[in-house]
Amino acid sequence: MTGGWKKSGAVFPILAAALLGALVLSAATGPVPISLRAAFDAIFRGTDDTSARVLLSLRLPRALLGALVGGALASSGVAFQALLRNPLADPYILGVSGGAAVGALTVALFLSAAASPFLPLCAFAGASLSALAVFLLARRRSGVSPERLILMGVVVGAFLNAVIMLMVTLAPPGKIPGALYWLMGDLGLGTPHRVAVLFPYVALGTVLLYLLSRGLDLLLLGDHAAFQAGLSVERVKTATYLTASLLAGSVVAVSGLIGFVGLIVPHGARVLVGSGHRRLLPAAFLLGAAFLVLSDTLARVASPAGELPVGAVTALAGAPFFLYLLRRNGGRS
Amino acid sequence: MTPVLSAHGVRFGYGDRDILLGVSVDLLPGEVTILLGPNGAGKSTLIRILSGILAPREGEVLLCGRPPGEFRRREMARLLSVVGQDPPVDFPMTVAAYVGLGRFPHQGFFGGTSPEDREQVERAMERTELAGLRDRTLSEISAGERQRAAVARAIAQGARVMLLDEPTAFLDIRHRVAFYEIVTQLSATSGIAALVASHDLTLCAEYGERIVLLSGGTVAAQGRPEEVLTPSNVRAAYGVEVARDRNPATGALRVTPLRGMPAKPRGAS
Amino acid sequence: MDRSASAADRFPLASKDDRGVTVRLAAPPRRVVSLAPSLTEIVFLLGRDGSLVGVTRFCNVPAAASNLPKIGGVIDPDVEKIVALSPDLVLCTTDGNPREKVRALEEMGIPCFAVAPQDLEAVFMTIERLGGLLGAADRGRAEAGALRRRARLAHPVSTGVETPSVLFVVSTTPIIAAGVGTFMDELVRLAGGRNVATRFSGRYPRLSVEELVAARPDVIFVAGMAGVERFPPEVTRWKEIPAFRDGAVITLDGDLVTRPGPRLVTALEKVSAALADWRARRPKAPGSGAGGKR
Repeated sequence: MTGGWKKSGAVFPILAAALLGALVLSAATGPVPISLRAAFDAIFRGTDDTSARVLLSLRLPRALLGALVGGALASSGVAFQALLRNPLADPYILGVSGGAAVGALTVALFLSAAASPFLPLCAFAGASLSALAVFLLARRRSGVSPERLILMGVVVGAFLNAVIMLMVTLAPPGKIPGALYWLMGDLGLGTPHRVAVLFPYVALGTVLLYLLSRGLDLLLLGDHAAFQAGLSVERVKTATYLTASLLAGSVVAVSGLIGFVGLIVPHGARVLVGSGHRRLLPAAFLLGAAFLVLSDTLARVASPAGELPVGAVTALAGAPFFLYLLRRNGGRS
Repeated sequence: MTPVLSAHGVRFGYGDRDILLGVSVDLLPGEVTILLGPNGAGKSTLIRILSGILAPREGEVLLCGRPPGEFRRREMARLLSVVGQDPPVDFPMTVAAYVGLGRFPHQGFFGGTSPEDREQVERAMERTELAGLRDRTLSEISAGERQRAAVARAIAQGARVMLLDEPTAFLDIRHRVAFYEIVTQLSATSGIAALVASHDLTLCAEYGERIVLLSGGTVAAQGRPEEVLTPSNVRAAYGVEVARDRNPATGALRVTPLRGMPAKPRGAS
Repeated sequence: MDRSASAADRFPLASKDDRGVTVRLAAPPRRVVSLAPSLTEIVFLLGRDGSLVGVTRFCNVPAAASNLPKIGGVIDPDVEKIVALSPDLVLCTTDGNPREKVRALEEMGIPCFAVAPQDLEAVFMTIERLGGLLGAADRGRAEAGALRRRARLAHPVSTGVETPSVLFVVSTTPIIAAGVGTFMDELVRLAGGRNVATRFSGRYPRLSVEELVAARPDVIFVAGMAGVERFPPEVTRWKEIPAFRDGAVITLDGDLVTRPGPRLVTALEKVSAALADWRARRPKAPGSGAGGKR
């Protein structure tokens, strides 16, 4: 499976259709029965009965949030894998997750309910600060090397994990379940307001990364080769780092730490469209969005014990699927 | 003829040790210059200095009359391209896409792929006999083919100067010969100034028009192969005894190493 | 009334705990350590608090218990501190105390009696057994009897009453409900309500807001603990949920509903009173309803 069909334009319409299908499925799934008629009325006639309200303020925001988060995590993963020249990189590898968690848990565990609307802001601030710290620590006169970035990411991450453990030990017991579920990722935290606020961040981040596509292609050649090919390597690295961290940080702030998507969806997308970033980034976005929305739908209905954490479903369901995808391609990725 | 790329009195070292103690070299258009020298002589370092990655401690480098630092990145890349030793292996990119990357200095981030771009990529692949492999990925082709792809990318870049850093280091004779064929033809037809850093005394003698012998931190000799590849020069640089004659088939200089444990080369640390 | 309980009035006695381990005591224990707040409450109830020499840091009822020496927490009791108190009996529970630490105490020759009542009646029986163990068998029987009577009074009087659908939560964000197998579930049932969380398997299912809307509980109880807050406004705005529409959200002390001790009956009374209140406020409906919504 090389050459030919990868170039075909069919992949993108199929992915878009898959995303649309996933969104519809997600909006159609839930304990409150909503008939097709009620759905139409809600959307086009602005009715305000229970079905309409459930559809418009619970299900649709949740589905859209899943799409935004999945797409953003996948795009961010693609960017980090190029920046670090490492197929095992994910959006959280360079401090974003630890920082976001410390920010979010500070609000969730130690501040009153009145402060909870500020949780996403604090999580985002935490993510940004830790990502910045990793970047500055890794920077040398000669620039930022992938190896140093990874090293500093690991160190800062370990430190922040210890802080998190400490926080959980000191927290009042009633608040711990909420904190745990945030750590595992939860799309149920999406309100229409939060989705609306998140949208410009995700839009900005993904567009910026798309514009950097060629730069990302060249970064894969190695710093010297990219330099000699005409790339302002350090500037592109910085821009990529900041944009990818912004993307990851903004979605983590709203939905918690959903894992696996940012790591594996880029590989799946490469199998579908090859590794040129001009095609890879949009494909990864669509694939990540569809994947997460489907996983969330599954998480809501799979278990009789109630909702499963979506991060568990992405890994449990996603791993075998992507293994299959990678094997079909001869393990090349 | 004015040199396209020249270095004058370049000094450079890592840490306290200076590797290059004052190197001067000129590259002329349409000419293939071969940079010879033992391991550690500083060939790669010199190439890095010539391409603007490293700045010399003393001396100057001029590309079309201006120092590399004065150029903007893309502008410089339109003038100078570099082929390194090891193009990426596990790269899930097709040959055509990889060669296409060479057009970046002409496109920038936002530019589309123009007909000119496509044509340059095609021609680059034809010259390197890669047209049949265009849709294969880099990990699928052989090492020799990958090296040719790297050369193709540099050709597609359309630069006036090409620096090649021991690109045949790990290749077999077939690919070495192919490589030198491609480079000499390219230089002759397109007027590109090429600098090839090499170890291969035999092929250098056959193909080289100008040879620069780097040893002990300076240019020990430069000129035509007959002038440079004398037994005393080779002994001083490599510690190896050689015999010289003419290749009966081609008439070019032929240099063959003789048996015996090599002596310590001059200036070796 | 259990015959063997009164026989255990006499010392020396041998009694099997809930693990099946036989604990032998030559005389009523004089230095008792409790490893759970519910057990501390029971000891005080039995009037044997004079023999208590060590309690957990969570033992706060009655107030006098807070003044006793602390030996750590429930899941993390400090074995050395316990040993230093030279107890002749340690009361513990398999629902929370770490098995290894209890074993460590037993290996040092300290008898440990483990109980794990799973429902109200088991709590009453535990009170009786511990009464026998601590040399207060009559007191134990009397107290257990009194509690049983109070519990009976808390049941709804007639069978034809309306059954409200009830949700009992231990956390409001996220919504974590008490399901089958919890004390809270039993309280709801005994008080004549229907626990909507029983449609989920598992003891503490997590509910999404939509599931709450679908369940439409008439009354919501919140087991208040340190850190558990009220429901956030984006949840309470769903007036489809009768509990929010009518303001029928009642917060109870979390300790009251989670400790398998005598105050569970107090909790039952409160729940029952709340549900009776709910029934009283209903418009009179002809006949008895199956009650509740979906």
